[in-house]
Amino acid sequence: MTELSTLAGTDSGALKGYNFAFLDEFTKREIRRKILKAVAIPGYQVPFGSREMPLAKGWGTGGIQITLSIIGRSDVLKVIDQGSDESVNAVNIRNLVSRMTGVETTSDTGSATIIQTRHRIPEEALTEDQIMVFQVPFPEPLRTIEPSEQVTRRMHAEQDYSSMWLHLYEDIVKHGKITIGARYPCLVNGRHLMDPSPIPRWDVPRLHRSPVLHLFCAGREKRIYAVPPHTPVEPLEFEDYKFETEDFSGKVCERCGSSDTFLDEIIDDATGDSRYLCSDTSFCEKRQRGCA
Amino acid sequence: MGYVLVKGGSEAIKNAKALVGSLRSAPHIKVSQIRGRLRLSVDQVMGEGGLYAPELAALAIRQSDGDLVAASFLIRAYRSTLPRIGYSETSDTREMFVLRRISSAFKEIPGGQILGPSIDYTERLLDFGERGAVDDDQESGTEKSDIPKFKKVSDLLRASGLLEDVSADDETSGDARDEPCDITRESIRFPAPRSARLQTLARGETGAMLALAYSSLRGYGSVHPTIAEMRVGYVSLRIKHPYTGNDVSVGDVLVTECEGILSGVGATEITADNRFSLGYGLVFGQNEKKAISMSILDGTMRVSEPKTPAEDQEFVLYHIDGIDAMGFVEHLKLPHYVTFQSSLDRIRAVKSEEVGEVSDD
Amino acid sequence: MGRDCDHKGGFRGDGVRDPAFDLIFDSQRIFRSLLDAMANPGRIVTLPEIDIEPPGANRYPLLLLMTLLDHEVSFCVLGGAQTQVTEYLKTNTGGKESRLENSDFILVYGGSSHGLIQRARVGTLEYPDESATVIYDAGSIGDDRGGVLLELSGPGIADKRMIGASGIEENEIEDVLAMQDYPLGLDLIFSDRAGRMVCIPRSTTVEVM
Repeated sequence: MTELSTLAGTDSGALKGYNFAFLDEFTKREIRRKILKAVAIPGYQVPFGSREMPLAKGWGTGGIQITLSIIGRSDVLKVIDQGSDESVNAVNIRNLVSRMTGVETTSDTGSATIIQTRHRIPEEALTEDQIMVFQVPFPEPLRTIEPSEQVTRRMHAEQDYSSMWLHLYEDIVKHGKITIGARYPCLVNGRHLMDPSPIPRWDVPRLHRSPVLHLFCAGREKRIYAVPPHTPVEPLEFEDYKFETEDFSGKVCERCGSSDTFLDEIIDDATGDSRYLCSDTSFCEKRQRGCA
Repeated sequence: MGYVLVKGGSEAIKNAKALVGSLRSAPHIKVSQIRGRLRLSVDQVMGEGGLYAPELAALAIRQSDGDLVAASFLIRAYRSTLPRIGYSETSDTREMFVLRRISSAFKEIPGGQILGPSIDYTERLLDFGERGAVDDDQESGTEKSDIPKFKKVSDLLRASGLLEDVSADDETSGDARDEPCDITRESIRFPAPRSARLQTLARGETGAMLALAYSSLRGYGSVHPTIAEMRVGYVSLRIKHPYTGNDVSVGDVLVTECEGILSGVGATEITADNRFSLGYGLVFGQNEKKAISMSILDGTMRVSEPKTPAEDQEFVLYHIDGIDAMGFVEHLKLPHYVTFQSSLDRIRAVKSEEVGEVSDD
Repeated sequence: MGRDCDHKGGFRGDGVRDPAFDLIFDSQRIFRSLLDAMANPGRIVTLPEIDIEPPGANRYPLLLLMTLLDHEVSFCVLGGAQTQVTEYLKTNTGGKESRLENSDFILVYGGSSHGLIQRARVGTLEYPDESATVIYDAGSIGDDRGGVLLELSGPGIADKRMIGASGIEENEIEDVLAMQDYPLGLDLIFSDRAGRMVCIPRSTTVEVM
């Protein structure tokens, strides 16, 4: 049997037998080239030869490929899932990157240089020195209305988003409101329709002209896309039916008392009543300590 | 409370992993035992994992407690860490060391039918005598050099002008290239060139391909091939030596190859120039149901106007990958509190609108 | 497809690889500088000092290409010590030399391609990413000692940014701008002798001042 270490290339990673940051250097190069094209064409989905990762498909294989391709020894990594650093999947991903690179990790949003996330953007204001990496299950915003990749690619080429507008219109006719929860479709740089990943609508306006570079990657669907800093990201809406974020009016976080953050709803076992807690656990702790 | 709100995710992961270990109630089995006694599992994992490495496949099967998709996934993930150091030359399966070779198109074929290792022709009775049986070493069989090489049945048909040319078949994509497409290096595009279709099929999950191929045979489609030839055996892989430029053999791989003459139900399907077309299947190891399914799906995806799932390239190629499918179906176990909160917000908003409308009346 | 790379040393060309370049960690550092510059068009980013010894004067554009190229992509060099630089890049990266119209990466010396750039790939509406990235060997970036002065706006720029670069001809800029038809177009990198770099992706609106 062949020794793992002889097959896996250089021994410069934190884990013996694997390359620094797990991926081989050719894979990193390909992903880096694709990231640059994604940045040059905001919101456009660049196809890439996604690799199988030591994580199941659908569990962040896209995000992790970006993180491992960009990360260096001086980076500080934060990983969140549903806003929490302690979610089992976030822990797993953080451990993997840490074992494969030896880089420092943190739960403090402010001190991270790379933040990999599933389903949330941290509440704390981000700075232009940080990079957000999003795990994406469905890169194609048009997939719900058109199953064929060949057709949706043509729709983007022609900037023909009429079927999406029709879909929203029918939604309003049927329900009186736009009923899309998370994954709200947005127009990026006035040209490409983009799936912002399953972040809540709460987080969508925070993409708009944000100072941060946002990189999105879908491993299973093999697509990379980006929203550079200061780029217009506009949720689709009608003059008379505006885009709405989740409504938490009158509700506060039980722990930190915050009334301006995205809240998780918890059903009380005993009473059956709803209680609320911040979804961003790191931010919540800071508030409790009076630091934010 | 939920598995995200509590602190100590790392501890929980460790405990969950330890519990898996505690369910392993019998003594450790050796990798060599898996390789030797569960060889078809090993073959399936090599095929779906896309890496010809019997030893590692056996190790993966043991590590995944016998879950073959999970084992293939371990192999694929490991495969990602291997740099590509070269490309093999084209292997000719006519040069195969044949272990098994059958044709259902002709009773007699040149060289003869060779049943080889197969349980196809035995009764499927659960053998209680096997329980508690001790390993009995099988003799290793005939020397390779004793086995002659065989022409293919399809060669005969092609020589008589009854079969279309192999290269004439990229009508669906218009993508003419010298080198085959490599779906592990570039994301597949549609319409996909045949090389991309075949490569995706070769790595596909056996059960998923079986189901789709069956759907076409049974009624959702019309491809019903006659097997010109299915052979199992060893094929030598050769690469160009980086310094001398000469072909050198880097080893033999066991493969199953199936060539099916495509025909409709009850009637043969004949191309515009009055020839049969061929569906092709080639998979690692001995995996006959997958090789046959592959040849059927190769045929179904060439239909110019797809009407059934098995004829739709995107439907077949996007959904037969076991690692993709398993991961994404199982990701539903991950927390979705945020997205669900977002959906709750919408349904409550719609409901309150309803209530509002009623009270307005 | 390339067949001349080996996993240990990275690449095997005809010559000997430049030992000063660390395939893993230098590539990563340079890439991050490049990503910063591409995400913030017009921002001047300084490349790390790595003492490679390429033929020809300016080593910084070659550091960029040593970070980006491998046997899966193609490149071509226009002007300067064309033949030696091409050999150097082939040896160090395994990248394929190709005709300008097929090249993924184009390195232009002397501040102008003399109109040749118009043949570079700009992508298709379905795959706009299949376009060339063009690296210009610039004299000096960031001051206004002669050369071109450009006003940039668009994604990555909060309001507007002014950027001056010497050693690049205005005609060349005009040629490139005439090709930009968003989302089709070229992505530009200017790399000067002091290690400063500036990117102008196709998403940037450029006014020549």
